[in-house]
Amino acid sequence: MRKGTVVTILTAGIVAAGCFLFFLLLYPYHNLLKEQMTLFLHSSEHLLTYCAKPAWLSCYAGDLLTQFYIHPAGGAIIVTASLLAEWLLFRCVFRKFGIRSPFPSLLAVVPVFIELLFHCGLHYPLSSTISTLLALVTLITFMRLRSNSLYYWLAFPVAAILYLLAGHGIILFTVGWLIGGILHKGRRWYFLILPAVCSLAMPLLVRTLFLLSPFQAYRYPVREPLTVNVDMTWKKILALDYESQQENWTRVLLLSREYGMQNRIASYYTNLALSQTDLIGEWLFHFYQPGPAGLFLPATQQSTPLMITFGNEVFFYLGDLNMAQHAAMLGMVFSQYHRSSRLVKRLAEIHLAIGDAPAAGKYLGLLEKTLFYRKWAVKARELQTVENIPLREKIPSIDTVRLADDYITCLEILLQSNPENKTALDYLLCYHILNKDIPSFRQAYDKWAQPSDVRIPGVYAQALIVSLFQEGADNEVLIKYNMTSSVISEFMDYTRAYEEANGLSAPLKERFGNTFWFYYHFAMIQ
Amino acid sequence: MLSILSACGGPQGFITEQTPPPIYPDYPGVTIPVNIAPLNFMISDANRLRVNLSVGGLSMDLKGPGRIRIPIRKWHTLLDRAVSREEDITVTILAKIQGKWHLYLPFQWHVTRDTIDPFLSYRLIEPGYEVWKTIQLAERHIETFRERIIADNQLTENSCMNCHTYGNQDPALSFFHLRGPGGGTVLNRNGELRKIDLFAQGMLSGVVYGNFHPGGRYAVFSTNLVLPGFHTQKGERLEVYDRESDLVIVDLEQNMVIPFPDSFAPELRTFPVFSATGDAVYYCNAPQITVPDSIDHLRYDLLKISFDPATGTWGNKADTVVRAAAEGLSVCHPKTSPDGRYLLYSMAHYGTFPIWHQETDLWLLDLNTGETDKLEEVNSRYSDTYHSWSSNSRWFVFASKRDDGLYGKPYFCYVDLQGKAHKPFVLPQRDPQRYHNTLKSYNIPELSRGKLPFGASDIERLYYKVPAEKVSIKQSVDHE
Repeated sequence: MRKGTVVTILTAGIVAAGCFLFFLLLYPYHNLLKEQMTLFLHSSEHLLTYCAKPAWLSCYAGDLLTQFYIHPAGGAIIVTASLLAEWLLFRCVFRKFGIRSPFPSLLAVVPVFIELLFHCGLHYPLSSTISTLLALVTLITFMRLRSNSLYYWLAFPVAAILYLLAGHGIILFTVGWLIGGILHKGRRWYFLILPAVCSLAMPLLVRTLFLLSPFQAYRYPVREPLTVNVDMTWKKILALDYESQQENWTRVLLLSREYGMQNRIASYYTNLALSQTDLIGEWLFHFYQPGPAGLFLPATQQSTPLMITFGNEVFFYLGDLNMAQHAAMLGMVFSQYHRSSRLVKRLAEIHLAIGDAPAAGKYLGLLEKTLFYRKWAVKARELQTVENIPLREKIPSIDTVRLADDYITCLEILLQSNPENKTALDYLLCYHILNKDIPSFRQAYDKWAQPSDVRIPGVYAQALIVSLFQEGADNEVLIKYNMTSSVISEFMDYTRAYEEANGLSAPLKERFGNTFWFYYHFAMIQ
Repeated sequence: MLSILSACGGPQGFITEQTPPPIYPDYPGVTIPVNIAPLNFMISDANRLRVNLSVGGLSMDLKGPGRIRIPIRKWHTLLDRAVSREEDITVTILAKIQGKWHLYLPFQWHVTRDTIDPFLSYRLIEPGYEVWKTIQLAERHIETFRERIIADNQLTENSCMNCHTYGNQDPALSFFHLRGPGGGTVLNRNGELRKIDLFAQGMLSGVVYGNFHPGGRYAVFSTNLVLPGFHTQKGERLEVYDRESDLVIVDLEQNMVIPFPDSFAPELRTFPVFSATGDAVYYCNAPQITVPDSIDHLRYDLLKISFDPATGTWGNKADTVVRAAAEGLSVCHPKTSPDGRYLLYSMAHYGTFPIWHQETDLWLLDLNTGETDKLEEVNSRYSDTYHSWSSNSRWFVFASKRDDGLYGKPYFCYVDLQGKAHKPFVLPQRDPQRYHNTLKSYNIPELSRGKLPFGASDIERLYYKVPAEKVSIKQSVDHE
């Protein structure tokens, strides 16, 4: 083996290992999300649905392999292997173009690096890479043809078939075929024009058969806008999302602390983790709070599809399963493929908790046709007849009709139905606190918070003493509310410090930055 | 039956069950038209099936891996034989479940020579919540399995599309509303497509629910200010209600809107349809109450008002046809049969959005006798609504959520000469798994005598290239 070849193989191996480690350790969550936002069914009927659009082979193979993204290593291996294959094929094409070593290897890095950046986006599908691979394989096969006639005459039929199998791969193939034909000495350029024009026009000509707009027809199977960057903000949000799904609440809080993000979705997951660890009353202001918006993610026209997808989580833990179902269904409606293993699983959980066996059966039936959710679904079927599902206790027994963003009614109904619903109580109190609405907080506290001998959580005590101070409460009332002397003296200290600070936040931040009082005076509600 | 036991060596030692087979869809004992596509079916737990279909000396053996696909030519031969001999088709099923063969009680399919209109249109959309990303209007040939998309919102900037409505079940006369910047009401008349902006100053909103006059010149619509709300209690989900609603008739030749007479008290009026003769309009009517607070008291009666097509004028008096509110019920979606004999409508406990009300049932009013049939053979524990008639008035189609309470599917029901409704059956699919795998509802199915003369690319062209025609309100209306 030549020294140059050895160096190339070694370099490629090292880069591939680096790529694998990057997707495994540094950037696994995008791939995990991609798996969650697809639902690949092992069913002949499902297979036939791919034929309704071009690129059916790429899409089928892509979705089939995307299932394995369920494990970070699966995603890392598949993406790395496909990029490596792409590099080898591009290298081969450049060689066929007559470019001399080592330039084919170096040039091939460029498209592969761009492809890698695409894979770092939220919505880039593996099927697109497979389309590129199919196009390159077809192109290389063509370039091996010795007969000029075959090179000319087979191009368009093969391009047409390629479009059916690989969608946008037709463009890469045609451009490569054209360049290959021009660079080949024995071939006449004017024989290349007609097949190339026909091939490039192919998506436009058949787009109505596949119900695609012109733009969609040329980029299929890519459906969403492409991004070409490594987005660490989304990586962090997806990390919080993933750990929340796994109910690793402590890990969510540690990550949130580490990231220190000022982001609504990050606050949403942090607050959920705080409530599930019973720390929200203590640590609410240890994390960034954008206002009540950090408690819920709405499903409105301004919301992104992922916000809608994530929006069901809090409702699910609260027990407002109608709103959880609403958010989960909308998440599916607005997702790339309109079907998602994660959301189908959530819908199954919701209907199991409600006790709606036929609806749960619908979703479990779908999951039973998947590779990795089958076991869960089979086991979950047993719950269809179980009576005491813990979440069921939280479901409202009182009916009213409210608007989708009427969170206060939602929380109050949950508490009316089940005053023991601690998550709902925390969310209601925190909603008013984050809204700086002291009278509503006090009203909710008096109505729902149980008098107890235990210490009032810090943030609630801070809000409560403001209310008590405003009404000029005497010692007897302070004792009734179990208000400790430390809270009272700290409040007095804060009041003095605030007056001395003349409206500036900096002098107060170190000592009082994590208090409700500081938030009340200095935070801007988003 | 013997043939399926002896075929290919035949299964030995089967278990004889004293129950009908647990097939999906629920086809045992249904009445089917002679022109329906094969009733392919499956048994979820079975990994092998052997089936015998027999009628009048004609027998067909079929095998399948848990599901059966009946060859379409042989199927139609079988149906023809059943009709000519006036005999039922007997279906015998042997299923291998967990390694053991089970022989079930045979069941019958009754075939009637009353045909059903051969085309069906519906909207494919994720259920409920009044939101969308992808919507398709589809047309299905129900004698085969061919489905065609007639409009796709991917080609029209993801704008919303409302359901497709025929005039007299005639493919040469139909409309649907296309929303968005290039939208309007798409009117198909003999394949010539027009786009009309059916909103004019003085109307509550653009038009919503509608129906053609039998003559084709007029269409009656509701205008609705709609609000969605969400229930808190389990089992109840979405409530969509009108804050205000009224009726208009549109003269499609003059592009003229004829408003409902203002001599009537301001009430909620919706779901209008013309009578079969075209001289009256049936509609649902409720007093205005505070919504959503009193939503569970919002109940609609069915009213009838005359209409003179010669002069294009409403009558000045409305008669109550069904007093539902007095019974604690609410009428929705009345549909007159083309022969004028029946009025088919939905009954829910309250409100105006029956598709999300599990208790919604279909009721049939015989306009000749005044008798009401609660259609117990037809209705299910879940919502049964969004119905429409076949042109011969012997069949109707409706959307039912009976499988899972969430996803609506089109069911066909036979009404015999005596007015008896028979057990309905779901639209057959080439692969019965399709209903299990899909996450779309079949919304507002409508039957038609023929194939529509336009397709999705025509709608795309109309959306982008053709400006919407305007309408004006007819002033100084002289009502009867």
